[in-house]
Amino acid sequence: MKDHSRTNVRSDLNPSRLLTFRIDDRDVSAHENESILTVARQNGITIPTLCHLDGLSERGACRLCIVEIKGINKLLPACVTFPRQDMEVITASERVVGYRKKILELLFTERNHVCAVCVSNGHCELQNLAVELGVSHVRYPYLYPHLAVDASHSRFSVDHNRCVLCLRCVRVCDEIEGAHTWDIMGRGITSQVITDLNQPWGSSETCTGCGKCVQVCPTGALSEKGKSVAEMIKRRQFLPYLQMMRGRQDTSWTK
Amino acid sequence: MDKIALATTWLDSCSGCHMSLLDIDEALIGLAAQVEILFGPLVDNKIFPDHVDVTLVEGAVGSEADKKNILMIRERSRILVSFGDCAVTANVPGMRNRHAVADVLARAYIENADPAAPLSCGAQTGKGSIEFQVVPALCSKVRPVHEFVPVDVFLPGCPPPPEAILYLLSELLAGRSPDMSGKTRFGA
Amino acid sequence: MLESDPHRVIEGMTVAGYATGASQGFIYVRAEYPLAVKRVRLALSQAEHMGVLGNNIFNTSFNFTIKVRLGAGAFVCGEETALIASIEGRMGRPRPRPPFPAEFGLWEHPTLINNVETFANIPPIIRKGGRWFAGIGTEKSKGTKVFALAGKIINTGLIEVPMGTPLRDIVYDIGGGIPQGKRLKAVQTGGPSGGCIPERFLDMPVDYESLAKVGSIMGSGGMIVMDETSCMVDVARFFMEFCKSESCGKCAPCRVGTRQIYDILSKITANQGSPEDLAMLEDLCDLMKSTSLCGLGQSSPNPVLTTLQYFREEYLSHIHDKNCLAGACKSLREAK
Repeated sequence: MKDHSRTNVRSDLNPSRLLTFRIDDRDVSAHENESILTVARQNGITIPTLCHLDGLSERGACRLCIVEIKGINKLLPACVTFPRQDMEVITASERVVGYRKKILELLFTERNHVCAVCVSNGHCELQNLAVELGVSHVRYPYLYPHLAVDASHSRFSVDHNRCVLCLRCVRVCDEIEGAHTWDIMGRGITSQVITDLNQPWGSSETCTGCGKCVQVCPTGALSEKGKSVAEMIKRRQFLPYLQMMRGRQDTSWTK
Repeated sequence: MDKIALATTWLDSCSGCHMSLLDIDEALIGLAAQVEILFGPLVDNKIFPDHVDVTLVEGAVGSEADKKNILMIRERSRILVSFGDCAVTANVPGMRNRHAVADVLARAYIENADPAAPLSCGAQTGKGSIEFQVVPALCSKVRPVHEFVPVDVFLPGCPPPPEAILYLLSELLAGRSPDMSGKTRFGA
Repeated sequence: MLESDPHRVIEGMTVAGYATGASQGFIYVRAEYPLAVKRVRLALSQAEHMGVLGNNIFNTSFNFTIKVRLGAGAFVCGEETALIASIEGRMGRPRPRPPFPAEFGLWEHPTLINNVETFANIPPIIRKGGRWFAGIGTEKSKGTKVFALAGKIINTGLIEVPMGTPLRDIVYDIGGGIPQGKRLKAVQTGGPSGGCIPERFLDMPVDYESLAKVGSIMGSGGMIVMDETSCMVDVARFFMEFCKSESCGKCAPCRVGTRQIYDILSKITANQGSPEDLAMLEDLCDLMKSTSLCGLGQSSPNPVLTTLQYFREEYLSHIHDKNCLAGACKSLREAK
């Protein structure tokens, strides 16, 4: 979803389009184009996320960043919700934290997340979320689906057992690299990320081998070959800069 | 002060959590003053007592014997601890859940059997089935302990670090409910 | 409506287009309704021929054209943002709102999106006046409503009644009652994610507020009648199976929640449930209602929640006595 300009401030009275609102009883200020998540982070307030990644478009899909907003009876995801003047946001009520834990636990049940033998053990956002949210065990039954590993690519491999369907790989390949090798097939719990038209990654004609998908993947689903247990450390500092360079209008200084 | 009655056991697991328990090293001595281990792989007694205060259960429930044992252990233990990732999440033993038991056994004991090895107990290589005669039958799926009995404390980790185990036991000995947050995690 | 009076819908859309300043309309029809597709296409070409669609309608500067777009079998594409995505050629998945389609809709243009029935109401209101329309129905639910009456009822089919008509009248006067002299047990309104209303509420008026109060919804106007031979746990399982397979998969609560709830309900109807299952069902239903991204996930727990509330004894019988009170589940399993 493309960011588009907000019009909830009157630009004649407020040409800079800044507004003030409250997060967790603290006064904060924001530009009307900054999401609640962005503003919270600017102010040192952590809200857990999974499908969000700086540099990629927002999905509001994982539902971990849901927050309470006074006067609105629905819980809204902070990454795609924009503040209004005098809005009051509560980021970590008991109710919301409880829901976040349950959503995370459902994610653990959905596929086969075996940390002990995973390349991302110790460097995994799913693990970190479990620590952050205090999840010591999962109350729902594990589903134990039968999912494949595709190691046909010369440098990378995808283990669908570890995928959380955050679709960061799809977004980075489409928005930053431009190849759109990754996409999603199926509906509901049969959803799966695929390369090209569900063909082996190694035979993909669109993949440029840039490896950005591997770096943005939050778990060990996408990894570099040759990495053993706990060795896959992701590098994604480049992402916001690439996004900025993609969106820039002025290309004069390369000439 | 009376010593706390402790039991440990391992179900479908690698015993690594027990090794981590032993890795608390010299703290074992302090522990020995307050704890008496009445049952488990680390001691001689192989009959589970009628009542223990704390049981550390390592491993997932993967066989009919595991199922029977965990129900018995729950009845006789005041506090039951799911000890390590296998007990908490089924972990590596659970990786066989994608396959039928017959396929798992055929792969392990027939396809991978060394054809030159002497045959015993009437086992036939290259032929279909394996019968459970003495060894307990495998459940179709390996599942975490808390899907069978209520669990009082969860201690994830593969294995849980010795410091976390020591902290857990010290807190239980002090009569407190241990807060394990930040002390360990899945796959630790 | 599209099969029997497509011009009313076209007229309603054109009026709405005129009122909002739109110049393009789309009718999104399920591909499983070929008769509706054929007739609405015919009506559109008739309207264009007559000059009531196209450029300079009635010699004014108002231009309005309508195109037909076909669905491809996804229930979730009834959700407005998923519908818009489908028309745009993208995958039919809802997106978070706000912003709402009125601000940011089809190809990012402000878009008015409504049901066929809503647009069909417009021409009579324009012709006979708002007061006439407001004279039908209840204080908060005005006008008439179309229902698709189905299930254990003598007269099945589409009916149109004033809002506020008692449910009893619909079931017995219009529907003709339950065949084979069986006893009415429940009526499910609103489609696959609507709640099941027990027989004791039969005298309630059918309007938005009353339905919400008993835990159901108006939804798409579905109305399924169930008799004493229906197992309400199996009914809940059946609808959750539908929602599970129609879930778009974007958000975790719905994608995994529908499957978890379905698994528990299957266990219970197979007489393998345990008492803790009910608490877990309620927990998952609450989670889905509160955290799902779109209406499908938020409302799919309704059949489960209403049957737990009004027919709890059937759940308990399956769990504790390993028995289906309606006598339905055993034969369903044997038939498979």
